[in-house]
Order: sequence, then structure tokens, then C-alpha cells
Amino acid sequence: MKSFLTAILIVYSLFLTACPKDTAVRKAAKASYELSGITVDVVNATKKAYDAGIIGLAAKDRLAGYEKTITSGGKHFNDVLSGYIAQTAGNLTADQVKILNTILSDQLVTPFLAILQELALISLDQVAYLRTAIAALRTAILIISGTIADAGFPDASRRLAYAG
Amino acid sequence: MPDNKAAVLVEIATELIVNELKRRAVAKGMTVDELVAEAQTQWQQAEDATDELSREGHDQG
Repeated sequence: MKSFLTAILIVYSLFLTACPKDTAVRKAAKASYELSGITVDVVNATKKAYDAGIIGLAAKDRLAGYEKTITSGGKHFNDVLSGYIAQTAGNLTADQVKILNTILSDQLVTPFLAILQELALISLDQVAYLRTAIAALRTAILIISGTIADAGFPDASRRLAYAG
Repeated sequence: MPDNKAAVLVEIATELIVNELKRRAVAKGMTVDELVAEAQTQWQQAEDATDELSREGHDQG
């Protein structure tokens, strides 16, 4: 377990080195691409946890509800971004970045934080060493959520900073 | 078995990180249009997977 946590820390340090040369539109496009992939992975992880008996039906349903919200928000974010790219040939205005930031914060970060909270509640019912594994899962989701912070959207970044 | 549950959780966490590293490597070589198009496909996959997950455990029969 120690080596696993060390690996997580190494990966985390890699994730902190976002490319500073990326434009706002590229950062937003990368965030949408990475978050959509993460969401697929998190949904699959929820199914795996339910099938293994780690979470019950009620917890699975709550997580599926949050994941549905993330999916709807992500599709909305991508559609809005796509429209802006077509309108502006790739240069986002300050107002457009503000709108994307609001969508990201309200429709993606909020349900992600709810999932983290849900995982914390699940851990209360488990034996001590299971909590370590669940903590590793929470850390993984939190690290991966750093994609949002790397995208250069301040509201979302600030909210995620409090989630540790 | 708690041991098995812990193993599944570690496997899940590892998969999440490995997949994310792969995505980050692939994203470096993609244009903005490609990123947005691929994101659209993945968001649709996520929606389909979520719908299936919501139904699990509630299926009739």
C-alpha cells in the first residue's frame, strides 16, 4: 500500500506541471476531453464497486445520479465550447471564459465533490484497512479532478482546493 | 471478503490513474478540433454508461 501511495504522489507531481503555452481554448478542449474520459472511467469504477459488493444499491444509485449530472454538464460544456470555437476561430473572449467557468464550477465540480463526499461516507461503514483503499480511490479522483484546476478556470480551481 | 474488496478498490484507483496518464499523452498530439470531437464521443459514451448503471439492480424479472 505504501508503494501505491508513493506512486500516486509521483503521478500527482507530474500532473501539477500543466503546459503554460496552451491557449484558453486548448485548455478548455483538453479539460473536456480528459474529463469525459475520466467520467467514463468513474462510471465503470462505480459499476465494478457495486458488482464487488463494496457499495450497496442505494449508494450506487446516488453515485449514478451525480455521474448523470456530470455527464449532462460535460455535454453542455463541450457544446458551448464547440459553438465558441466556430464563432471566434479559437480565441475566447473574457465573457466566454466566464460562462465556461460557471458551467465547469456548477455542473462538473459540484457533482465531483459530491462523489468524494459519498466515498467518505461509505468508508465509515468499513473496516480500518478498507478505509485506506477507499482513501486511495478518493485521492485518485481528486488528483484526476486536478484537470479542472489545470484548465485555468479560477472558480473551479478554488472549490477543488478545499476538497482535499 | 474484505481483502477482495480492498484489492478491487486499489485496482480501480490504479486504472483511473493509468487511463488518465494515457489520455494526457494522447491529448498532446491532438488539435483543438480533434479534442472537442473526441470529447463529444466520450461524453456520449459516459451518458450511455450512466444510463446502464442507473438501471442496474432495478431490472424487471
